Amino acid sequence: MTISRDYQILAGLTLVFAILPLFANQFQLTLLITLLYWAYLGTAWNIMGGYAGQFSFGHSAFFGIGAYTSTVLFLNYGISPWLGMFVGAGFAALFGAAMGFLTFRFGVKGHFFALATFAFAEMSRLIAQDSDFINSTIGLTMPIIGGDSWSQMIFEDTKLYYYIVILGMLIVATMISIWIYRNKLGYYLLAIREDEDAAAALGVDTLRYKIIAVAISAAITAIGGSFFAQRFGFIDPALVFGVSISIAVLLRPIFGGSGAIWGPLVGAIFLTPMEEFTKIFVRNPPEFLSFMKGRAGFDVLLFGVIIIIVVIYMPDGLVGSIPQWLERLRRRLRGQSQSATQEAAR
Amino acid sequence: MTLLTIDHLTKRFGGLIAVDDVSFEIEQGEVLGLIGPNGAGKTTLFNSVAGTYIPEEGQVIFNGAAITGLAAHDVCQLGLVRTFQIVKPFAALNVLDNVKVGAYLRNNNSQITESKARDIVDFVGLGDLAHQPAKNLTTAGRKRLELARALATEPKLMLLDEVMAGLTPTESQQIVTVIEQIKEEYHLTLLVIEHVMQAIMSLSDRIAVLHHGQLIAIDTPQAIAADKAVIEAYLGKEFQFADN
Amino acid sequence: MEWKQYRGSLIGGLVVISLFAILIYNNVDWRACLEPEAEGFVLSCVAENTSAWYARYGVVMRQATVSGLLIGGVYGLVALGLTMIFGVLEIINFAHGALMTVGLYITFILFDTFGIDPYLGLFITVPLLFFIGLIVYRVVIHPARDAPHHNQLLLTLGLTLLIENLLLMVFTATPRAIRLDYGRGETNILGLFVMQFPIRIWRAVITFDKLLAFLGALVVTAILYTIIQKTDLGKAIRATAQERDGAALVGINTDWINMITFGIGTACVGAAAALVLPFRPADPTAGNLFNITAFIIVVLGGMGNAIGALLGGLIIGLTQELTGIFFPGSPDLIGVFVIFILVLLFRPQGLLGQAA
Repeated sequence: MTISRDYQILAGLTLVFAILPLFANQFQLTLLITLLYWAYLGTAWNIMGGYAGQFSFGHSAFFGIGAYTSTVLFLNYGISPWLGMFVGAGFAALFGAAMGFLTFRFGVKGHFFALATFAFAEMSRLIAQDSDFINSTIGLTMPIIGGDSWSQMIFEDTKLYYYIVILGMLIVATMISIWIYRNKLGYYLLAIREDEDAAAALGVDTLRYKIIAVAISAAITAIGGSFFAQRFGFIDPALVFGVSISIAVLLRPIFGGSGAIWGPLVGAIFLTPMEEFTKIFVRNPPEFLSFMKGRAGFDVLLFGVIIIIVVIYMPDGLVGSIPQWLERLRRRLRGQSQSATQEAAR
Repeated sequence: MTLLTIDHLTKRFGGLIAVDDVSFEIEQGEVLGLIGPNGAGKTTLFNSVAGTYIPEEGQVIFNGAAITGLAAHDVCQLGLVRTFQIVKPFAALNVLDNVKVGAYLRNNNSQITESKARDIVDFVGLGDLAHQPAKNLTTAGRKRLELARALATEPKLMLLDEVMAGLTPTESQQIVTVIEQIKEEYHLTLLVIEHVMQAIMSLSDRIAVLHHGQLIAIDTPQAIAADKAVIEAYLGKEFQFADN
Repeated sequence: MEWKQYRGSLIGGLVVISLFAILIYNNVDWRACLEPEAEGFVLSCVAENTSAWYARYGVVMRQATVSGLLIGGVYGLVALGLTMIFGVLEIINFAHGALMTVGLYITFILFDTFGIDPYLGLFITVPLLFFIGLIVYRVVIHPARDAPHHNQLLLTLGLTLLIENLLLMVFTATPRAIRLDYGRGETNILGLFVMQFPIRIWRAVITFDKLLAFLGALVVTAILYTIIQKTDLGKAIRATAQERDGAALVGINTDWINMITFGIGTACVGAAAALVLPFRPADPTAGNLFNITAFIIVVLGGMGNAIGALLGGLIIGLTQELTGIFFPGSPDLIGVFVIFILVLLFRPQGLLGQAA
């Protein structure tokens, strides 16, 4: 596959997602926004966790920095979120680079790196909870403006506008992801993921490239955090710095196929509707499962089961596993037809 | 012209002196074989030269510049590349992409890199397997891949760490042919660690012998084969006594 | 025994000491002593002011120290289970805390439904958690034995979500507390002697349940330590942890050892759960705190090191309580995370169990 082929696929997908809202009701539109939003965050995670193989379990740190930066700039200084989200991206990239430098410099690898990212995220949450200038645990609320405003990125009446924004964000993120994957940076990141010593022996400055991967991933994630703040109109430390964000962000790329360009999107396409339907199901379960009515936790429980199944049975995710399954199926079919011909020959 | 100078190099691990005050030079265009019994410090010497270890004492001068203690990637950037005794392919990437990682060192353009990597893959005889994941390769294939990747970084000097270990005699012979072709085609200087005596004797211009971390001999293959100290190192003193 | 094994504990200890130092620095009015009109020598003035401050605030600090050490013993026990699992299986079991939550609910049900005392319940909870550990290993962990490390972390994360939310669905988020009808006022200890609870030492309060949790944790740790050091099973476990292939070569069934170790590790949290339920109510995420602290202790105390785990537990307990004085309210884990990152940075080789 070549880079132009990837862009063709992206163009095709863009067309599909541009047309879809025409046939969607309000509920479906919300579902689509959620889907694209998680695909976007997954794409950001994938650059660091999938390509570079630096498994992050603390993306909520970047997410929260983005959400708080744009919101504080908007509420306190009247700076438009369109600008604020890039400031947040810059902060998150700096934070990520500093974190990466500290951990990589001292050789923290593998699951210890994952734990370190988790610790950094939890620390940022605790600091946010204790910081009065961002309203500590109470959080920040967007003003109600009674309408739609493109300059303030607040759309109270027209959900479609959020859809347009997140679709644009996803397209840009995917373009970045494709560009990285098909160029020197991507090759170096993949090499680092596969074998750091070998990469270094071939002239790859592993420390530098790992930090670059963290910074890019952090910046894209932070913009997603800003979008979250705009769309929901409310943030608090537990919400945007919490561990559930970190988990949700990595879930789609892992399910879809981490390290593959389309893994996060495929993951989001499968998981987001499932999540929504589980919620509906629990709200209104069939007769024989009536004890589940209104019980919280079933959707996340399913996520837990999915993670376990993915790790055990399809460690390469959907994108990686489906070709393997098809190959196996083809081989089996061919084997059968061969034995059939042998039978006939006899 | 001298390409690599190793000057009184010493590497210790705690109380163990793995490389003990070793000095020698490699001339441009030369193939220098490095032999010695297991544990003689050959790979440690490689690692100390190529930036994996930082030596305690001594200097390494490559192409006129001191590279002692430089990081592995900087050493590679200067044109000194090494292969690994235990091959380290990028398992999930295909053969061509493995080589592209090496080729990207000298340019950022994907098309140039691709065609260059393609040439090298063909050159080492992996052309038919270019789009196979590296994890599907046989041991011999992996050794070739290791050579191809190193070659793609456009080195001046290649350190080859036991490229023939674990190969059948036929495969070894093929690899020797590839190495000779590399030397001809790319005008490289080679420092080769090898256990397969026949191969290294025919391949090398000179041979250096390490024993207990010390350089005990460095000479032409013929002279080394007759050297008493070398025979003693390999076969033990008893052999000498019996001979007397 | 090499001192390097305890480098993490040393770093942790230094942080604790500096916490004390900052506490005193921030609160003692030593600047007044530098004023020209201050009486006497500067040092004696500082000492006087310090003792005055100590007379007023020392009790808070002493209480924090005592509480920290008491809960630290339990942290050490939880960490011991985690470090055993890590030592043998080389996976970080993120579900360790969730399994402890299971233990909490089991203890709660035993008490609430069957009227079984939680301390007596230890004899049910511990074996039960042991078996749950065996099953979890067989069903979830074993199939992914050869997966990359971060995938195994992910696996146990999935398990955590599964357990937590299953408990949430069954028991809802309401905290479930139990109340012992003894342990306050005059308490007869096993018919041997009578003690007055809560105990007061230097005006710091020690309640019956916390003291028992601490002592219980120590006893279980000691038993486990003996098993690891003295029995054949323990030797097999240590052999597997050190050199898996070598152990298999001399006839140790390493798969079996994996499973047993996971069971024992889980049994540790079972014991910890029964010991803390009297003062830590059960809710679906109650194990998280213990989970996080256990990770940090394992990193601190060295892998597969029972004494290190206990030491690390005490340090983390202390740090947590002391930072609680700095930042009243929820973020008392922040000092713990600082230690964690410091240790991660300064002894990563020790963490991986091998030199680079």
